Amino acid sequence: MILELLLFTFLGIALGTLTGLIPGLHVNTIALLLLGLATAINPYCLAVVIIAMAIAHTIWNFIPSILLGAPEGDTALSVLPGHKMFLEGRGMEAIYLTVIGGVGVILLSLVLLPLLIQVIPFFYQNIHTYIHWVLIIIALVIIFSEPGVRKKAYAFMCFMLAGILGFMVLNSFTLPSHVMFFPLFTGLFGLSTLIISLNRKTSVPEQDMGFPRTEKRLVLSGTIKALFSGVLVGTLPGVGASQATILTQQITRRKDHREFLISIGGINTVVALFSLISLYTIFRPRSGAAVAVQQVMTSFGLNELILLTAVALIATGVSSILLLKSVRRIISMLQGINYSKLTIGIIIFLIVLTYLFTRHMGLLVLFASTSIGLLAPLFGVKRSNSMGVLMLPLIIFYMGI
Amino acid sequence: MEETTLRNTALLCSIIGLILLFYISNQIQATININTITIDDVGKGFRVCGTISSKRVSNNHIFLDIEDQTGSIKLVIFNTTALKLNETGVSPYELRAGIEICAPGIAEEYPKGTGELELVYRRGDIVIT
Repeated sequence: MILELLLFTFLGIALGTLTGLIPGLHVNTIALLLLGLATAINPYCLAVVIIAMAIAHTIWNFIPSILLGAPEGDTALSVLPGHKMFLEGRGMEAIYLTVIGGVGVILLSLVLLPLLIQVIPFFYQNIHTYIHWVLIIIALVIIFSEPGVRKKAYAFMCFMLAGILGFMVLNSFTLPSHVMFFPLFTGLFGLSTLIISLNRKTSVPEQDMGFPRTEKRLVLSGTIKALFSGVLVGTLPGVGASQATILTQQITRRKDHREFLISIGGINTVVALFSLISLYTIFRPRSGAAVAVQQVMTSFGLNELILLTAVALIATGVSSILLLKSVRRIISMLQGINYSKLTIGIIIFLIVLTYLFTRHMGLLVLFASTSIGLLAPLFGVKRSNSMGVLMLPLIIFYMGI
Repeated sequence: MEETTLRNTALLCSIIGLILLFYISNQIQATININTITIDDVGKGFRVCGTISSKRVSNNHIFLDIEDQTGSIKLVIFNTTALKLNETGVSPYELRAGIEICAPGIAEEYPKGTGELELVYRRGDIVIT
């Protein structure tokens, strides 16, 4: 049994590496395909491959989001400081920080697992009826953090426009919502970033190939914030990694890009683990991968939770080591390339991928989301206001309107 | 934190995961689809989940036909082990047609040479799902 489990863990890591590196190829898509094999493969092995893939994906998908500016929903906010650091020649550092977050938070979660099993049900029972109020407070905090009345008004406009677009797209029945996330987030946070940076840079700057020393204080605070955000995501339906990051950042009022990258690196990984703890404690999966695991396994007890936690630890460790080994080579390949040509190439690549995954409707969404995504930087307000794309539809949903 | 420290921490993460995996793989018994049990599996332990389609009791031996989405198999609970069922919190009377259960058992070929398979319950929890 152990050899089978290990084999499927490594298969999951390989699949997660692939989905992480290819923008738009989502874990949920592969998980759905794997569910088709449910009658042929041992359910434990299938659950193991799904979780290993989900965890490996969260480690690797910072490569396209930071180096290419091509994000997914959960890494959307990392594009902003991460890609900025890349354009300053600090791409290696940005990737390194997200790995610190991933490894740090998974170890911290392991230590706190017995406590989390108690905390998550308590938190859920006491807060789940007020979710829309929590989301409204997060939205207000984001908007009102802008200086001056004019910028607050611009921020509100960006939030609402993105929110209306999100509501329209996610409530249309033309394509599944997880497929439509790709054009939505690529436009709001990816293409708009690339279009703006296209006007500013002509070549990929020389990259610092060393990993800088990171202060323990920074590692600790970034990891703790990620853990706190993980509890939010694991408990509250509809609160994703990005919303939780915004809330955490706003509560602490820290504007350190490095700490932000540690946090978001940790949040993405820990959310995958916490969705399993939620499945065990409150019987509610909080991620696509956890939904797939629930469908595969007839019962999900403590043994199953420990098994998949073990798989998450192996996937985090192995993926991090592989990423640290290969990131220099990846960055070297990008260096010296004409940035304008590279950016144009990525823009075309993203448009083609959008067409392949979502056809004409996706292209229409991509055009609208890119236009709205350009507004925030042009008005000089934070791009996180565009997270209204998810928050507004959820507020409407949980208010029962 | 330096690169080597991060790499060592990632390695530690993997090693803890491996130890946990080794420990837990001995605790869990694989739940499998009924149609994946073959003649080569005789003597191996499995856990199947499905609906009891019929029940027969003879000399206090219990014979349950369990069906899942892939097939069906007979689960045999001999009278000596049927007594132990109460210790696991399940009464033999609760096991009746239409009930969904998960049960462990050892694959046996019976009658010998026919290629027909059944699971023989020895120990472990039978869970009514």
